[in-house]
Amino acid sequence: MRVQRPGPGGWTPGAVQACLAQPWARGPGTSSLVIGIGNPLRGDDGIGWRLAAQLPVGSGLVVRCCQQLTPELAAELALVERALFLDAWLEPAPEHQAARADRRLGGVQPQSLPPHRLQLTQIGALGEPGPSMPVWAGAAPWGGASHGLSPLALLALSQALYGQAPRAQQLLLPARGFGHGDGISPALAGRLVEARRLIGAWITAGSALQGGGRA
Amino acid sequence: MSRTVMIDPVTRIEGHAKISLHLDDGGRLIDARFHVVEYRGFEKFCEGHPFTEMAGITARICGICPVSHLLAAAKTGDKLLGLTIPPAAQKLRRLLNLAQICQSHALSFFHLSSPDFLLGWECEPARRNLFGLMAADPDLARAGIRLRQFGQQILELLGGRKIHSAWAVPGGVRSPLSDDAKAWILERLPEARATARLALDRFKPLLDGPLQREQQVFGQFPSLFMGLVGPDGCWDCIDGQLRLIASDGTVLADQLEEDAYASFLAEAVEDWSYLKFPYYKPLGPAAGMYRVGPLARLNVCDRIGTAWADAELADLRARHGRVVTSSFAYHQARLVEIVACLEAIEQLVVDPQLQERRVRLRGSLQCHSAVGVSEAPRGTLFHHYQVDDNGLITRVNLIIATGQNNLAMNRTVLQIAREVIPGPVAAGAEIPEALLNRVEAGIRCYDPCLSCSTHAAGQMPLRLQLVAADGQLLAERSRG
Repeated sequence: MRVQRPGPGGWTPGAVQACLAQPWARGPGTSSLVIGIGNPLRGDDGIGWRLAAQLPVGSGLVVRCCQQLTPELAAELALVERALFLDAWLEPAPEHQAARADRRLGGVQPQSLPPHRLQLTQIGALGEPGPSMPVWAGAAPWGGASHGLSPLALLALSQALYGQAPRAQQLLLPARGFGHGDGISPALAGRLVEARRLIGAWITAGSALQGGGRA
Repeated sequence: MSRTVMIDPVTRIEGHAKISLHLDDGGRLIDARFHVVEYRGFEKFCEGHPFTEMAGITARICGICPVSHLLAAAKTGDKLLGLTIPPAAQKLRRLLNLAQICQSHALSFFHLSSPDFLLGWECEPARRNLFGLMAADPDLARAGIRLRQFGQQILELLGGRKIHSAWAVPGGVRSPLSDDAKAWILERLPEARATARLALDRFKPLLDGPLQREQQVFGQFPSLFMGLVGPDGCWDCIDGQLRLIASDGTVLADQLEEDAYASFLAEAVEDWSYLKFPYYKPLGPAAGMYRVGPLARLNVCDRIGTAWADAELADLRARHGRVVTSSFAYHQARLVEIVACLEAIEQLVVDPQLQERRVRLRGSLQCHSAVGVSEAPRGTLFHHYQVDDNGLITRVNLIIATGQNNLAMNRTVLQIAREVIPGPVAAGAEIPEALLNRVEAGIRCYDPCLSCSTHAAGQMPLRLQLVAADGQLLAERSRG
């Protein structure tokens, strides 16, 4: 239920709090949000951004491109049923994979590390918010990277502040080149067909996606 | 035997940094160094590109304050083309910058710094963050989101996207304010004002109570302050001229031309940081230390020019004096500037000139060197381009707000460290968690953005080391 916005002069503290508790409404029919993360001027780092920017918006799909995840995206997540995060993955040497995965995801191990074959992975289940430190407290909400949040932390924020968060998946693309420039490495370029197929399938699959309803 | 304490890196600032605290032979703190240890070299990267691309390139330095680079680049381009842009374009650029400052300050105040205020310095780092804030005061967390959304939505309404819009260009802007955008802004302004009021009402009692000591020791020292002011001395964020004042209120320089910045600003370099150390040239590196950003802008201006913001400015000055020398007051200054931005947006958005169609001029290259200045959320931003006959960049100098606060940040860290460790540090002593927490918070007063200042890309767990003068590691503490 949406809170009625007060008229001029009606912004009492209680009215402000009631309005703040509700995210701003989005247009009818919007059910999916794709968030592309990265810097498109830093080679492979920008692949999430690039893939997202190429998606057709409309038909229930909203696309956001950003260099890092920031808190206001929680309000956008609260308005959709499904979300997909696209990001580059610093492909580490095998012996370092676990440690790097831990840092990139803000301290939370994914259910599985990005495999050699690309696939969408579910972003971890969230607990119920509560007055004590919630289950996502260990998620290092700033992902160790200052202004940016991890996807899990952002979903947790959505759940805690607005009482709802979408079921969410991520597609992490193995990245190797982070130098200046708007090109991508040949290795990553070779994965784009597969990546686009997965993203397209996610968009069209809609409710067919498994993984439960809202967290 | 002198020693060094290292804090590496600092969390919740943008980029990659570490801090070292240097002890003398007697174990007393004698120096603090805020190291920026990654180099990304955007100035070099820009060489060879047409100056018309600079707005698009430099805006991508950072996802937090891209509008600032966009505006500085556009202003520099105006000069290279010898154009005085249409009044409508000037106002539209101002509107863009006001929205940018509003949303950036909201992120800094509500989501990066409020956990420190509300949860306390002794709170464990795992809790002293956005989620701790959520649990302690969800309204404040939501208020930050709402104010940030308000500012970002204006950026999107004007530029077509929230970040990295190429809407401001040399010669003006690409499009005027639409009817829909105007209506949206007007509809949302009352809520934004009410949200800002909520934040002020929550924060001021903290200043009067548990945060009194922090106001005395978090960067409380005399320095110069620099920022743009309008011709009438009013607060300005884009079209004014530079003013420098001393902490006693003396105006050292006024209505400075940015093109002559090299005559009054110099940049020192140290071998332990990629972040330069700008200072006011006539006074030298020590006495010429100056601060920029929200606190500096409020210090240098005579008044803001709108009723509520001027009342909040008066409150700030009543607490600290005419020139506020505590860097902890940057936090309150951000709230004052949010109010100033909201009031200025309210005045601007009903100006019919913003909907005029003539918002861009076109021209040809008129000179080979130009400097553009705008006020970024974190402080004064200079873009200096030199171009060849074809308009291709031959040299770029970007003087970033975080760099200009570099000397003050180092001084702040030292002051806080001396507060936490007032006496000599005994050999083998444990490094207190309180030191890490407070030093981090001291740096966050400036909301530094190392992405802009060096273009660092860092992941930042925390490490603190105590190192002897001979390089021997005496103690270490880490997190993350």
